[in-house]
Amino acid sequence: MADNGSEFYERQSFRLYVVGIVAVCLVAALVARLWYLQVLEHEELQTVASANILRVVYAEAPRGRIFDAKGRILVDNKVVQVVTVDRLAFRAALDESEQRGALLELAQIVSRSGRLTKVRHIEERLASREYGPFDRVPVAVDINPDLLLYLGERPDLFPGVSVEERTVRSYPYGELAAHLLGYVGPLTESEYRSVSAHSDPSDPSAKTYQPGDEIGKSGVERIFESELRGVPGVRVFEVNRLDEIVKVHHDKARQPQPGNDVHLTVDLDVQSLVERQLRRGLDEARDQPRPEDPDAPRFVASAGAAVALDPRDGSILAMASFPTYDPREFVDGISQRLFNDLTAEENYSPILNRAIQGLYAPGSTFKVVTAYAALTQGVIADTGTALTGVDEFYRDTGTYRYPFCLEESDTCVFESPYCCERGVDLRDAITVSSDTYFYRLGGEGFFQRRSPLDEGIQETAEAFGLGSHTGVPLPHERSGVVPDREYYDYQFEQGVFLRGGDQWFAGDTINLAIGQGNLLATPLQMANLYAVLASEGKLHQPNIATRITDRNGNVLEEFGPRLVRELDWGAALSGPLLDGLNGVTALNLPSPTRDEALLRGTAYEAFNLPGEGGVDFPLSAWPVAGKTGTAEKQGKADFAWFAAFGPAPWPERGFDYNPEVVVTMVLEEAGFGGDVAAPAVARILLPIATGTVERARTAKEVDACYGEVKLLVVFLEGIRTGVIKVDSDGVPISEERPVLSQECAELVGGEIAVEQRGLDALL
Amino acid sequence: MTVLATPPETENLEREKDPWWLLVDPFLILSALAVAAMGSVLVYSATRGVVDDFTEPNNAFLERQILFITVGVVVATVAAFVAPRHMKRLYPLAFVAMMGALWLVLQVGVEVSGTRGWFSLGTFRMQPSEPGKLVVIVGLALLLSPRAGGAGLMRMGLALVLAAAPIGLLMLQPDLGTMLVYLVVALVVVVASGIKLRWIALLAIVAAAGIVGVLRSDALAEYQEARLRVYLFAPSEANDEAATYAFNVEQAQIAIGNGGLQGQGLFEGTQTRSDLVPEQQTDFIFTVAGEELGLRGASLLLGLYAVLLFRIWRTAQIAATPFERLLCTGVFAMFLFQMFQSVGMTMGMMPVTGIPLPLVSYGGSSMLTSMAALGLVAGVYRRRLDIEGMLNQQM
Repeated sequence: MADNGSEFYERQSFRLYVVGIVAVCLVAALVARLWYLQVLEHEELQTVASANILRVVYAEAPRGRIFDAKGRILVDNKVVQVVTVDRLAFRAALDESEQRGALLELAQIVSRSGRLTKVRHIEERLASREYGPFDRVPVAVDINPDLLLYLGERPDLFPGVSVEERTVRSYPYGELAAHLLGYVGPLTESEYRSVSAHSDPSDPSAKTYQPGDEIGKSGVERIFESELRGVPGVRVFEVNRLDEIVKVHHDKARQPQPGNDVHLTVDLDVQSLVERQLRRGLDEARDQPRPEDPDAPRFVASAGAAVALDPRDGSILAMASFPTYDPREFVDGISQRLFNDLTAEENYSPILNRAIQGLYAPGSTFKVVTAYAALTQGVIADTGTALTGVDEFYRDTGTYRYPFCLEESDTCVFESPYCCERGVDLRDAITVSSDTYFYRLGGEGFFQRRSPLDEGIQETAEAFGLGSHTGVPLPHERSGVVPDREYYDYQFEQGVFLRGGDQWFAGDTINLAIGQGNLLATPLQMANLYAVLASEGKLHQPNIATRITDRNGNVLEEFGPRLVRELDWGAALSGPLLDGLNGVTALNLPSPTRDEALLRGTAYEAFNLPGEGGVDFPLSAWPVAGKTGTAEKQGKADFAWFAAFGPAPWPERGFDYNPEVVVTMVLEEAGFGGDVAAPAVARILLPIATGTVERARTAKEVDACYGEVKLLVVFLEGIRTGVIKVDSDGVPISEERPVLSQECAELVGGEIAVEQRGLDALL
Repeated sequence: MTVLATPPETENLEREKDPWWLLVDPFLILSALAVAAMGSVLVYSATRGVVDDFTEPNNAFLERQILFITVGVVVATVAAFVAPRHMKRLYPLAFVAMMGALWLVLQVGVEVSGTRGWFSLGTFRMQPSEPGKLVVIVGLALLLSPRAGGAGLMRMGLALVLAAAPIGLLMLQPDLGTMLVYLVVALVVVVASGIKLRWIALLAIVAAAGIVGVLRSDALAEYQEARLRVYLFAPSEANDEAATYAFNVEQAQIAIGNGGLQGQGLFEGTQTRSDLVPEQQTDFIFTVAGEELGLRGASLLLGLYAVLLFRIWRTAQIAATPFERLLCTGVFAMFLFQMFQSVGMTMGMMPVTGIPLPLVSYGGSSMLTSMAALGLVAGVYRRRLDIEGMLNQQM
């Protein structure tokens, strides 16, 4: 028994050890797992834990403002009440007919509160693809704050509809400089991915984006996005499982930092002037009598662009593109329909900034390049193997026959449709824009030379900045085309052209010499090209901004002139060119060697004859060197060009001015450059020359006077059409003449201005 | 061995009274009190709520827990002085009381998260299955320590019946966690009682058949099956309810992982503060230690537990009689399994079952039961040199 008991005891004791060992193993397993979770997995789980409970709320910082050269605010911010709709919630809660009913009621409520809103407008917004599925789509902006309470109390009636405060862009000058300034809009998905990839979320001063944030889409808003964007404010909350806030992390909070201000080179007054005259130039082009030939294309004149530059440093003073749009349309988010309208070609794509995106054949405005090339490359010289001398006359009959043609055919004959019998030297050829003179330079001068000298025109054009981006800090600039053999080859390979570079014919060079053919340039490129002539050969990259400042005005960055290259500008070169260009606007001095017909340049009327649509320009005090251009386009009316600068140096007359401004303008399908573009440019240059540029009007001022001016215009129209009777002294009988208030009279420049220009006096 | 070798003729022997410090195990007492103290702090952290400038912390749970500990110490002290013969004498009464209470709770008890296992007594709730553990342990120890030799098949069978009876009632609550405790305790005590290996093998077969039977039958409540599925299979295979449990298990592990080496600091655990971990003052209390005290604090807690367990095991080893040895073994098994289950489930090692961490989790029934169990162990320790107890056993 004792033995038995002892054996039993041994077994019991052994079993106890086994239990102990199992216990040790279990505790060891717990410790191992604990170590695994708390050491190896710690970092990963800690990340999950903070994501679990931390809710970061971002507040968009106010964007920086945009100022003009004189310190006026062009783009500002304002806080508005916005009605937004969460489409997912809205559609989930209501069936189709209920949705329509709710939207109808919403539109009525918003309209009753003082903001006229159509239900169709709201529906378009909701259908817009500009917004992501989770975005809260703004359907009415700047509503009465009372609505905040009203809508906030009725989630049952309007599911997903809420009223929030947003900071939006405001444009004190309305449509002015719309293309240049660009617009902002909510981030698209691809933009969000792109900006997220470039920002470091750990950097507290990073200008991070959240989905739905505003981003510059075009113009200055886009190119200076990184400056204008503020640093978003951050509030960090700790929440529990029910998303209730359990703690506010004040230490992690950050106030929003407003974006930096951008100061432009643009002078609002000049901008307003240029836009006004561009519009008026197009209006006048449309009003031209129809060409006699019934098959001739109409003067549609629906689009155009103009640029004003300071040639001394390449600062852009004004940049206008027509048709334009109202950036205020973008403020509350734009409907798909409106966006389609703005991009539609049948509307002449108002969204397009033609000054940098419109590609045009420069026509005769290009002739200075051909002349410069001929002078610098020995095609025109008074000695040696040159084709012709500077002062040598060429008999311009209006037809040029290329003498090296292999066979007699029409392709060797180049017509100048509007000419006469006359003898022209280089100056005259520029002044009266002789096509045949330049045809000859192209054909017998350049094409006949050995390669690569035969591409001397292209080489010079490229030296003047054509065929490449000007480098203006604006998005989507196009580079244009300077056609040469290489370009032909490339286009041939792409299947665009039917001929390769080895098929470059004499006719290609001959057409190029007068700025036709496949030569394409933007209005800004042409302005920059004339700035080279105006600045003794300096090619700049145009500047749009002078400096960046922070909110308090401290300068963060300044932009100086950016010189690209300096071209030769000796007296032998500049003399004939400047003489020729000055002659375009002025009456040439009579000289025994010249034909009487050559005394008037192609823009003579525009600068000298007020009675014929021109102005009386003080050319002796402020000479204008310019060049008209009339670019042909198959099946369309000619595109009218004018490029000019002043006050121009004029060696022949002994004027030694330093040009302050270059202006180019192109009017699509508008006729002769000298007839329509030159007068418009003359009207731009006159106030600049005489220091009488009108003050740009704010949208508020225009709105305030619109009614009064409209009344007056209607009244005047009534008198003109005889609806309103007048007595023998011209005093109206049936109705009293409306009187403009003093403010409005000052704004439009007196009732005279309204009589002359109608409603345009306001713009 | 030496104890057993001592001749049983000590009745008239003049024995010096043992000094008191030989009669108490300071390590057992200190480690138990330290674990309970740490537990109180953790309970406080889990229940104080969000404290800011406007809100006072909620002290109610802490105050109650301290009350439970205090009462528990008294209960333990009493338990330490209950002689084995009284236990044997009173046992049938205790067993009937347990079964009665477990039956009664099915009739009048309140239901908490799907389990009808609590009596509602005013502001307190009492869980009869907690003290029931002790009744089962004592009963097993009594049954499996016959006067001479090891228990046979008969006693083993009786022991299983003794354990199965309350388990059957628990199944009706249903309370899978406590059932498991009963089951594990019974198995460990049976194995440790020294019965022959072949009976153990038989027992294993029966147990395996039983487990399969339980799983096959509808005995498990839906939520229990869901919990098991989450543990055994990928959460995606489970249903919605299971997803909730998967979420809980995940959040618990995130909390512990979030603690790292140093811990987030007491009251600074974000998972804890945000109520992301369920039942945090009771079943998931270990996550608070893990998150706020880190590897160091959590290891300290486990270390204190290890000391406690070792002292119970050691007491079993040096117990004066086989009954007392099995008693300690049962308590050891209870503590070990509950600790492993409760801690292990927070770290994804075990399925989620509602088992408190003894001495740490908030709750009076659990605290008093744990304290009473330790009191019994302390009594065994106190009597380890007492020849009388041995005589009692052998009479």
